[in-house]
Amino acid sequence: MKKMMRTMLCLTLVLTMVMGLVGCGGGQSAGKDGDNDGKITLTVTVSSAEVGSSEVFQRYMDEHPNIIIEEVPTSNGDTKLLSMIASGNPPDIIRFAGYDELPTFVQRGILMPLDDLLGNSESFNEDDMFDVLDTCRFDGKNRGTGSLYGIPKDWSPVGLWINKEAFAEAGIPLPSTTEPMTWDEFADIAQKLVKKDGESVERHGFITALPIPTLLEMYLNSYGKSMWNEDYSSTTLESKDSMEAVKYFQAMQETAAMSSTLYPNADGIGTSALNENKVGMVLGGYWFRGSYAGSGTLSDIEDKLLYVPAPVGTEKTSYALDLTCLGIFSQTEHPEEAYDLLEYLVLEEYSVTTRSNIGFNLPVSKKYMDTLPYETDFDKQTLDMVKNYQLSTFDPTAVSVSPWISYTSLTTLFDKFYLPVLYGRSTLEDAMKTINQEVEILVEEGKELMGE
Amino acid sequence: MIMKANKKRKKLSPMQRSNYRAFYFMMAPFLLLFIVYRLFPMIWGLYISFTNYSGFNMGSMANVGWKNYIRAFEDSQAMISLGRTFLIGIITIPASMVICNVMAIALSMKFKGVGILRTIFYIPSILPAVAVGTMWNGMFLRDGGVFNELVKLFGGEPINWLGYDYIFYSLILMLLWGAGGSVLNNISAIKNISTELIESARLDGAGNWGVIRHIILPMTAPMNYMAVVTGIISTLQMFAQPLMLSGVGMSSVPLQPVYTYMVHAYQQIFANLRFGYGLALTWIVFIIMMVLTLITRRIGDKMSDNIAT
Repeated sequence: MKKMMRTMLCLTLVLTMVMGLVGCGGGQSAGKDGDNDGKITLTVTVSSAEVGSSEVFQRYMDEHPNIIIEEVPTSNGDTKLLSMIASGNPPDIIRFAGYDELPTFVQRGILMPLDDLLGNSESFNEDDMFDVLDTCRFDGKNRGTGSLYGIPKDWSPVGLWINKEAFAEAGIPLPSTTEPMTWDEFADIAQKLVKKDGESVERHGFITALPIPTLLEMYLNSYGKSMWNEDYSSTTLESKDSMEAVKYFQAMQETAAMSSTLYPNADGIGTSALNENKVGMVLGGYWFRGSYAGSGTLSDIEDKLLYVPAPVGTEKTSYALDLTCLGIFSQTEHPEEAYDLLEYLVLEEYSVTTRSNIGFNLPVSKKYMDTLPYETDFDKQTLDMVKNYQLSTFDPTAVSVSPWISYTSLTTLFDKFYLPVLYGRSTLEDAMKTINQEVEILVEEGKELMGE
Repeated sequence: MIMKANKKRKKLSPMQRSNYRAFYFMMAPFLLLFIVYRLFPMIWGLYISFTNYSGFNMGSMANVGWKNYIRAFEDSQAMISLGRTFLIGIITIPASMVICNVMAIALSMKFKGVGILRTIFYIPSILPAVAVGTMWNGMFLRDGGVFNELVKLFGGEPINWLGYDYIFYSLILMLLWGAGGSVLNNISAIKNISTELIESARLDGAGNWGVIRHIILPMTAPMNYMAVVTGIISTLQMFAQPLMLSGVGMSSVPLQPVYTYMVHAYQQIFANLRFGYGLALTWIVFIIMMVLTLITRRIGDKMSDNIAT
């Protein structure tokens, strides 16, 4: 009896070991072959919806019978990507946020430099690309120099979407479509747009999907400052300028001019809130138009919308803070196949025009700009604003983040220590001091792990 | 002595051998899956908790000894969130038990529609935490939420249920909504109590309260003990509920009043990329769970002895 039990246990353990070894064998190597008649499976973390439609993937597979595309969608700051890498099942093509995530991903060796692969490409013509490509160049500290680690899927600088109905109701003249308003003017308008019934907020001044640290950097940079010190090892959050910047947004959140947990709006992006006249302005890129276009509801809303430049300080700069890029996992077994697919998704006519024809967002290649919608007055107004103001003031390297800490760390530090300030549970000075201390600890740890 | 040895060496009959073989054959898949998907990851996690693993440095990962465990006790956020999680448990576990026992006694009676009521009270406990949190988030919304619509109906100003001042109570309310999980167990325990026992107690002059206190509660004590143990475990593991209730999703943090210990551990792993430290935090909570379960068991045994005597 005992012998039998021992035999069974031994058998189980051996099988376990075998299964464990088989499992470990696949660790850290993307690009799975073998099981599909010699076909190569490329795992991508961008969704079919984000590339235009599932047809975009299907067409590539039809044209490349040896490739199977496996879609495992992730979003910005998504833990799924980290889990995939940590568990030894990394993707081949990685979707990442160009502004927030690129420096950390490069520093941690997740992204492969594309320079060698670009050399063999016939489609990649840098002269035809917008400067936004430089957002994906990184030398370990600064953007715009060094190797290229990704290509923006599509992009747009941050602008301001105006709810004309709300402006009319509040008796505010519509802002200029060619000249940006200042941050002070913006705050003043946002306050006037707030509509309250007692403590119930019927309309917020503005909504944005950008987190507070991103807004702070945009605000500070437009005054020629930054929330980071020169080598990105610490923040300037305790400085007078940064404190003023935080107070600027705090004041808006405390009065419902800006949505927050204090005066929340269930719609984090602003599309449905704008539909229902529950928000006066939305800070977001040309993609905001694409959200309506993608759901087929643009015609219901376009008479209500006006696209104007985002507010500025002393510097008239446009920033791409929410652009989605595609890169290749550094240890993929099939870099050439992965690059070919990447190039198809971001540069080839079929996939690019699937998105640009409906005005999803701006293509990274200039030659496709003509494929963006330019029929209705609304189409013309939005695209003219992009061309005449945003493209001429865009600077891809103006803002950056520390490569030693994950951006999610930074945003959650703000959630943890800044939000209590809104409820009077902490002082702004204490909160900024704590965030700065935590950032310094994380930077130290990050540097130590990178062997710096 | 010889007899004992003979007994040990006693050969099994072919039938017994066949039975044992069948038993272990049937157990093998479970054992295999348990080892692969439970035991192996646990041991791997224990090993990682002694390293500086960050999710990307498998090749250069270094052993850091007890550093991650010591750090947990120096991390004020970890200790505060642990205390907060205990507070949630201290409130919800006894309250859930009271609700559960009252419901079980009421629903063990015979009346029309009792079956439907049992199902209704049990449903919340089988819904996934993510769905429950999302649903309550919608009900607690400041603008358009059910609760504030009720408040407005009575002429009040809307309350920010999900803001700093109220979110803790909102979480407690949401957790107590799911208190009916053990009701079915308690009902079956009550149904197993012999009617003769209750009748003889009544003959001895026991009223309703007397029957509940001296018969029903002692006889359902094992079920309540189970409820306490599972309550402790699920409270210390609480993660998705505060995140979903706050409406912030998995990659952010809820407001401080509902920032629980497991949220902190998750943050360390996925936001701060401190896999080693995050796993050390989970092992600490595992040890706490073990100790609390043993204490509860000891108390339960003592109470059973007292009842028996």
